[in-house]
Amino acid sequence: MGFAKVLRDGSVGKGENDNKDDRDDRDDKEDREDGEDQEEKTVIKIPKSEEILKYIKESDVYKSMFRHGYIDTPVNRVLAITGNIWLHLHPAKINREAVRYRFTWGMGGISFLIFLVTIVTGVVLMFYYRPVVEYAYKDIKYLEFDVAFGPLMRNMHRWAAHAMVIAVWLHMYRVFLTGSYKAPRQFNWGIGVVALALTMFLSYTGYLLPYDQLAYWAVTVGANMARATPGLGHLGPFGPEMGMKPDNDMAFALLGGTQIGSATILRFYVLHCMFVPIVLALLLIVHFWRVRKDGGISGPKVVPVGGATNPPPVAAPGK
Amino acid sequence: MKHFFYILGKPDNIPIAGMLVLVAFYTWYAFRQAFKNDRLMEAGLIKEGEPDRVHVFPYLVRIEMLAAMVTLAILLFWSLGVDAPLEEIANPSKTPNPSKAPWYFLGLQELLVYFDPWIAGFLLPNIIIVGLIAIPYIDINPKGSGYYSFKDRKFAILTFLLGFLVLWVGMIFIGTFMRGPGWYFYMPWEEWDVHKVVAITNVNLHELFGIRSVWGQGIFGAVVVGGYFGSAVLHFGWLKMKKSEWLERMGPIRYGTFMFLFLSLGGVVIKMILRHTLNIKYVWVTPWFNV
Amino acid sequence: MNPMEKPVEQTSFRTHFLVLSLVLVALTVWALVDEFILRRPWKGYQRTFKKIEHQKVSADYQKFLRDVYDVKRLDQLKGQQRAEEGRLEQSKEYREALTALKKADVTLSDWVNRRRAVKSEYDEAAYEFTHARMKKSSRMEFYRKEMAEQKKVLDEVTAKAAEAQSIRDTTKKTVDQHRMAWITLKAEIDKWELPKLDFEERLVKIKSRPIQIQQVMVPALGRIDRCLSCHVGIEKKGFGAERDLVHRSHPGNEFPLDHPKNLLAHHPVDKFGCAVCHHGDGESTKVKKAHGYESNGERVEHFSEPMIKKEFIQAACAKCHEQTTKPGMEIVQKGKDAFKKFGCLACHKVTNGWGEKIAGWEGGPVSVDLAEIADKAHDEIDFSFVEAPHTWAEYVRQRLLDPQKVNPSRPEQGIPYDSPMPNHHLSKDEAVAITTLLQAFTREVKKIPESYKVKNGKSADPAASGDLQAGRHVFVKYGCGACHGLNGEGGQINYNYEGGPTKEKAMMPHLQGLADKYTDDELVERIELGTQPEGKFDANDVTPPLFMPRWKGVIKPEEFNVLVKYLKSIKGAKKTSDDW
Repeated sequence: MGFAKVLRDGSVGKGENDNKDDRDDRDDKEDREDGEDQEEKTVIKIPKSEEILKYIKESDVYKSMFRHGYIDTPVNRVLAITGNIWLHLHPAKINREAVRYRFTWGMGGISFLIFLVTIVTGVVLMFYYRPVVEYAYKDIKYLEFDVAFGPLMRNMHRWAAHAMVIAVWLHMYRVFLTGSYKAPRQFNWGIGVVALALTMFLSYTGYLLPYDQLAYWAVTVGANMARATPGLGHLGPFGPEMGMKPDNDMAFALLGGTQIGSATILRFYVLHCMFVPIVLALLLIVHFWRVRKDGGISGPKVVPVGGATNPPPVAAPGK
Repeated sequence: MKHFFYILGKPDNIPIAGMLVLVAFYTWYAFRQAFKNDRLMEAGLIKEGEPDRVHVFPYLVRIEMLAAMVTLAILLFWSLGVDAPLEEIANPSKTPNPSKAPWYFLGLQELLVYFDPWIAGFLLPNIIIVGLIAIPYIDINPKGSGYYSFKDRKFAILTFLLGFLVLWVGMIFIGTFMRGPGWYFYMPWEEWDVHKVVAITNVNLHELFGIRSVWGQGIFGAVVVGGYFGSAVLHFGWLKMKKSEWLERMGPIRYGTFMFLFLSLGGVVIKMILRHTLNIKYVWVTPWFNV
Repeated sequence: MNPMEKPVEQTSFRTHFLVLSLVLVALTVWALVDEFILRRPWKGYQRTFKKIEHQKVSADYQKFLRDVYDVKRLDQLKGQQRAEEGRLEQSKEYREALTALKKADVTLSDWVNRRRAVKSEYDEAAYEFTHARMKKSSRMEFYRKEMAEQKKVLDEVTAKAAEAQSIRDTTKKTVDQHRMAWITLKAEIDKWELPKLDFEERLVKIKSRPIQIQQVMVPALGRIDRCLSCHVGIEKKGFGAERDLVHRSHPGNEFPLDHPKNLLAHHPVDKFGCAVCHHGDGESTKVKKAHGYESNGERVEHFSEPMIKKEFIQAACAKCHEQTTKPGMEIVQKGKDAFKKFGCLACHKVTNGWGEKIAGWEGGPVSVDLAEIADKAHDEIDFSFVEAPHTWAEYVRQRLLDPQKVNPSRPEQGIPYDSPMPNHHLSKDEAVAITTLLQAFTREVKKIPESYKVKNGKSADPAASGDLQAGRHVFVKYGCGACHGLNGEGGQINYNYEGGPTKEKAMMPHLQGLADKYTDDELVERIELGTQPEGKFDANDVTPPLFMPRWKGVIKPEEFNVLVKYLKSIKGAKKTSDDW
């Protein structure tokens, strides 16, 4: 049945089990047969909103996208999770205590959300930024003064980067304090630690890109540490003995030169925009997958003694 | 106070101030729950067992949604209210004083005061990462998994707090707010002074013992550092003699890793104390490296 | 885990969601307002200026209509014009002439087109010929012939076209002769009609002018200036007295174009931009970030090039103008004069930034090179004793006025002496003038292309009459007066004087009564050798240590001849505490 016909007839679901609709339908037809000259009027009968909704809900397009109803039943609650690619990271049911905000502080999820924010804003910034000494600083100014929503994007990217570092630290702090790294989650803790290190490296590589004084000297301080790597930096212990010179040591590899310059910006840009985010994203995939495989989010294997342990499920929240 | 507020007012330091508040709040929040749980356990109001489960949809998803909304609101508010700083264009010939690393590395930069760059910039970060990864394998205490508690794992929590709160967050605080020109220490109420000169009175440990020769220094330092880490062997033997149950469970490899990491952490603290009390610059001086 | 607790199923988050949604909506609105209004202040300025300009032009228009536009006379003229048109229409000769002109036009365009076609064929033949000759092809001869033929045709056609052109010109002249009266009338009418049209067009243009960022790119100077986005009236004339500074036109626009005071006529914005003279951040479109000053006059943090204040603005002239004698550059010229008069060059040199000497600015080795003094970074300046605002210009001005006040001794910080720079008790104007001059000593001068610079040749040493005057000139040229007193009377303090920082004891030597002490040769030798750095009282003390530099090779022999004569002529009764 086409939508045009629905509009014309003012009804849907012909031949289906809704009797009232059927009756309306019949009435319409009678109306039309009654007065030939009134046909024009009956053609523009406006369908009721629930009728349109019903039509939409029964269309192939809708049914192909949504696999379950909205009615609050236990089955639909499970289907809402398992039938949704984004939500199915979650289990269908979860420890009562783990739901509480005070247990997880939500920091893992918040870290991931901020990661997504930096990706979105970062892509916008990439449209306007050229990783060359001559242009880097100018492009940031261009973003700041000309580009529509440029300042907002840059501010958000920068603050989100800071916020992400903090959120990841707090996530680690929480996981430690609840002892959630214990068996069987040891390996996932390790992945988390590497992801934390990568987060900081991601932030560090992004630090240089505006190419202002702050960026330049902050990165210089970091690069000086690379110069002191034992055996691999020309200022580190055994560095000279290993044949390290300013132009072949660890800092040289990091900066792409003996000094910060265009090569460094390009290097940091590629690391910042391509390599590290991809590696971090892969690690996060493993991290999330392991959370499920290690038995879901950690929670106490303890229950209250006696008393009202399991309150009866209530139909819907907030009712 | 002028310079303290100046640093505090820098847009890039807002996250640090925020982090300090958050860390303090969550520490309090976690310990409140930990002590409460400890009390409940002691009172026998909770016991081990399979806990009750609830539907993720909507009970968890709605919380996640709320958290996402709060986070986005804070980020938006922050981004609209405070502009990301943009300083003068990079100028290799003009070194700012003090020149600071990104704030999350300030803990390491702060350690540069006490250690050579190869330790503060390379060895310690690596030990931190390896040590963090090793935590679950070292901590074989089966209790306290999945809930806040303090009584069951006092040692683990106190060690972690020393590392995270004191050495990491605390050092970032000092590095950010209390270091002025020349990386000199300033209390918040003190004014910065670009001309400040602090007499360098640091000595090396061997000089206190009157050892002057190059070989002597090297051997002396090796003995001190080696002795410090070697004390673990004595401890191991002592535990073995006592037929310690804990050692039995740990096993030699786990025990060795643990002691190395724990003594490294302690070493950092000891070196800092030595610097502040005895002005010790190096403990171990060799022609190639200094510790 | 608390058994007493309300289970999650019974907690409602309705209010949380509602409040957060409202907060997010509010933040979105804020983001939009921020983007479209708060961050684009120039929109408002442009809008207001449009209004102001429209009002002004319409007022002028009304005035024109009232005072100049004479409707009666115009009607009369138009009537005459129509009558003349009627007469022409009747005139047989005129119509014939018109037909002839039309015909001549057709013939001419025919011939022109024909010539174009022939020319093209000739070009092709010529091309083929050249090609064949280069390839040494056998068809070379063929094309040579072809080319010659085409050339002949082309010449013919060209001649014909020229002929047609001359015929057309004569017919046109005939037509114009007939129309002479009409043309005169039209010119008379246009005298009123054209300005009216012009006014109307201007009004329409002002109304339809889009509101957008105005940007001047000057690649030669490496500058992108968006100042005109807010300062809308800068290039316009007659907005000198607007209430809002941002709408005013540039000073000098009211003068005729060739007047020296019409600055923008000589320095068009397209070619110069704004910031090359005024400094500031031309790329910025926000008030503080463009000008570089907070509302209390302090420099905006991390701002590398705050705008030059009005009193020092002539520094901009000296960056390109070697000679600053023209009107409008009085202050910087005064600065130059004072700079030389007070002998700054005795201690300071001014190179071209690459360490090369500039004629007329070779100076002594005692203190720093002033070549890039204007680029001294804000952080490198000690503002502890500078009165607000803490800007480069204020620092320099106050330091010139009283060096010892701005750089006093601070023994607790390892600075045992006051600044060794002599205090000449400059007047306020002199300090401003010298500051203006110093502000022109910037790295940027190197970057400005030569084509922007105005070189007026060397300024010759003024002819001196008599040895004494010439000697006096040498004395001033090398800045002897900076330490020894402008007339050799001494009086400046040397804080590095061996024996301690007591101010009373450490006076610079005066030059009185030299004739009694030295022969000419001794005096020359004394000056040539100088006094190498006076033993510093403390090796770590203040720099620069003051000393008499070696003048050997700097002061030329013929200059010595007159200098010695001048020095020996200095007599004085006054004896300062220390003598040479």
